[in-house]
Amino acid sequence: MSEAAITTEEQARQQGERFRQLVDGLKAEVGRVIVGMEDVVENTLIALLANGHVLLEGVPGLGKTLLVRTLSEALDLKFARIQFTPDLMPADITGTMVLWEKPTGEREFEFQPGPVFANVVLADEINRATPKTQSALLEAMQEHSVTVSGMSRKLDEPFLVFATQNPIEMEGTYPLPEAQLDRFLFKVQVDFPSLVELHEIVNRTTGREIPHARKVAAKEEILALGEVARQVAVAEHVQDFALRLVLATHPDNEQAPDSVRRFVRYGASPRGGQALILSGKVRALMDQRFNVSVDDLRASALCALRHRLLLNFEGRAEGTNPDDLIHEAVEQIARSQEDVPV
Amino acid sequence: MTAEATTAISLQAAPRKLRRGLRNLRLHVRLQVAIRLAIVGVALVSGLAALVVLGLRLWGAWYPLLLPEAALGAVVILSVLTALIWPLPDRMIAASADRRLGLRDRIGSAVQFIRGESPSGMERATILDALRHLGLLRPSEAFPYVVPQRVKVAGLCLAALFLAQFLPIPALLLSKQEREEKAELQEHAARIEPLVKELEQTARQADDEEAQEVARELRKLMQQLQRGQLDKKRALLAMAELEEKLERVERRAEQARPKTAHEAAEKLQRAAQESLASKARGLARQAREQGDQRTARQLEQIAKRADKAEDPSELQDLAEQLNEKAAELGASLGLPPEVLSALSEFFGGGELELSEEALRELEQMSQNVAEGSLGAEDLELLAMEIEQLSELLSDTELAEMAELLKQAAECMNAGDALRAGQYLKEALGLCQGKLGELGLAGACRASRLGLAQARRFGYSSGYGRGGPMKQDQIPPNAPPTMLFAPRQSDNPGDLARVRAQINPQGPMLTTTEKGAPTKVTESRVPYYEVIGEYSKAAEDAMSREEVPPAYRSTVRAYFRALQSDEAAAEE
Repeated sequence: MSEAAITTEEQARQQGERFRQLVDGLKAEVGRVIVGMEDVVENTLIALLANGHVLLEGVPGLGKTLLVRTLSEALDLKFARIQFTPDLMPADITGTMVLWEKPTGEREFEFQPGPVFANVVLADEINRATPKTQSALLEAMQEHSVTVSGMSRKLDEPFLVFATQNPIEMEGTYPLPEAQLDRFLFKVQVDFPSLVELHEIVNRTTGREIPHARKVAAKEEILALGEVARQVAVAEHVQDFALRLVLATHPDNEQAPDSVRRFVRYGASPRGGQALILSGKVRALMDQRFNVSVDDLRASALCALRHRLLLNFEGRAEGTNPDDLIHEAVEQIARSQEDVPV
Repeated sequence: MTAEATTAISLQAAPRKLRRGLRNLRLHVRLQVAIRLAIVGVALVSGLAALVVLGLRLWGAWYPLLLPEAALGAVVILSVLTALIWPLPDRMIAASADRRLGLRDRIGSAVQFIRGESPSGMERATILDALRHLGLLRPSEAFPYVVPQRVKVAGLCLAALFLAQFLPIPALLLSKQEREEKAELQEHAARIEPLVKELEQTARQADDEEAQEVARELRKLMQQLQRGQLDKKRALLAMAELEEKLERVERRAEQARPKTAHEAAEKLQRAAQESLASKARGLARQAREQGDQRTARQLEQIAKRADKAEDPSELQDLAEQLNEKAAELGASLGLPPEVLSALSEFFGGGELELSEEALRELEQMSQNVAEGSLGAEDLELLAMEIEQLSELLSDTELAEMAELLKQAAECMNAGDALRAGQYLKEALGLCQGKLGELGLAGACRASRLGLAQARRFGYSSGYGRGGPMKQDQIPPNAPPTMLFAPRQSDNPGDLARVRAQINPQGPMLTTTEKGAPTKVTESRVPYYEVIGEYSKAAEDAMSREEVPPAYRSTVRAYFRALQSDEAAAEE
């Protein structure tokens, strides 16, 4: 569904209000099932409304899968889960041609769609599959289409990949290639819940009734609001901030902080800039604004850029956290903004 | 009107509103920039000036006293001008306000969107949203007035400058000669102190504003000298200036003396003689009637002496004796006998103290008249005498007083003692005013002479930086940094050509003088030490017509040039 261009202030207000109601509704429904994780939920929602993929990183059992499933339930989207294992083959994801015998006795090859033909695909423990299998998602994630036996098939919109990976258990895993990582809009880190949150989790999940999310919006509405978000205005100085931030993650850029020069081999790609601006637009609407602010960019910077920084050997050896590098880059750019001398 | 139309109208007005909001913010920022620049500038300039002033004072070099303050003023003006031209574009102001108020780039984005030809719906919404926020915010919220830490530094630097300028340099840091000079100045100041007090008092009595101002300046100078706040040069220049002012006030006060003095004095003396003799004879008759022959003889003697008295002071003595005899006899004398002689003293330019005393008597008499303590007979007698006095004074410059006296006499004759007393008091006030003016002239003269005496010490103790040196002791290669005036001549009779420089930067003048040194050498006396004395000597010479009329204007121009140059240097 394509949303018409917003031309008046009144339309903008109405759409903004509609957007806010949807987000509030979604948050409320997700909140019924998921305890805490406000930042994770918010960032996941932002990625969802920006039609971007999310890589969720966290130890097992924190509710990553539950979060994705709840979202798809609340939005009435077709959900598919793929458990990535070393023996998973690309055809297990994309689907394959099977020989089919008609009632007439005639035989022909027919395409059997894989789990990727869903609106929300949960790629669980994506780093356990071989690079060959991982790369099966590349086309789907970027082009929203799948090519099998020379025939390209469009995926149903919205198409969102929510991948998870375990940052601790690295044995027998295959780190995602840069090209694949770059296709994720956000990399969201799921932290361990606090004691209060743990109490609540236990209370909710060990009782007689397990809470479920109710449907809040249809997928058409999600697509329409995604279009609305894309029309949010971005001022030149705000866009300039985003792009200078992306450049500051490159070690050979003159605005790069010293730590970036020292520990980064390659900085964020232009997709990083797109991710910052897109997520900024969604954040602005969520905050009932019609313009993207630098604060929106700052809020999205970690999720949008942390998986796009390629550390060098020294960086990896030192155990450098990309988040720290991004923080420094953000501060560096913020300092260089022009200001009045009072 | 539809919502769309409302939005359209609002958007038409939006650029103007946005500009107005930003202009308010910019004005606020400029003010703060000016304040900050001024604080930094004042700290730097005053700190630097404090060091320079201290160095100059220790070195004994001259500098314009108000130069540091002028520099500070210039810094403040420069700060304001700099703040006015400081580049503060709309986008910078808007972005700063956004950041400081947490407006999430609303105003900054609106500033950009409003420049677009046809803003989209989202951009329009942003512009109106920004205007709403801009309308609510106050500039002081975005850019609050915070006292910067540098204020303390600036305050300290300013304090250091004022201390360096006005605090006396500790004796330890002064040379022996400077210490002696200061001590001597303090001593002179202490000597002049009572004269200043007298000047203040007489100026106040005479109600003379100019004299009061001069007295204030003199008091200030004395205080500065006593505190050791002035060096010799400044003290001498200030003294010369005050001397001139005092002379001006003195001349003006002297002019207050009646022009008809001589004639009035003679008439009054005659009247005083007649009045005194007649009262003495009247009392003698009364004494004889009482059987007191001795007193009667003494009174007859007083009458005879009064007939022959030649000056008002003698009449004053006789009046005192007559008063004593009248008191012994318990008789009333009407108008105090010394009043007429005192007025004669006043017109004749005699002692002012006698006149003042006589007027006090008259005051007492006015009081008595006003209180009605005089009998009808006494009042009648007094009225007659006052009428006579009024007639005597009617042709003089005390005609106004004469008129009042006449009215007083008329009131007495009519039996209205109260009003008569009031008229008498008014007349007395006029007379005292005249006396005050004359007293002021004396006080000015005394203060001026005191100053002149104090200034003369400058010529006898120390001569500028070089110290007391005779002409032949001056090294031939001494730098010509001052105006050197010849102090004494070894060759009094010959005509010689003399070179002199008005100031270090001034032209070198050559003139033919009589009694100048035969050798053209450089004096070590700074011009400021001699200018007062020399210009006065020149004026005296001109007033005595020693200087031919054709040269007078040249001489006056020369000294005027020196003084104006000195005044310019002071500024």
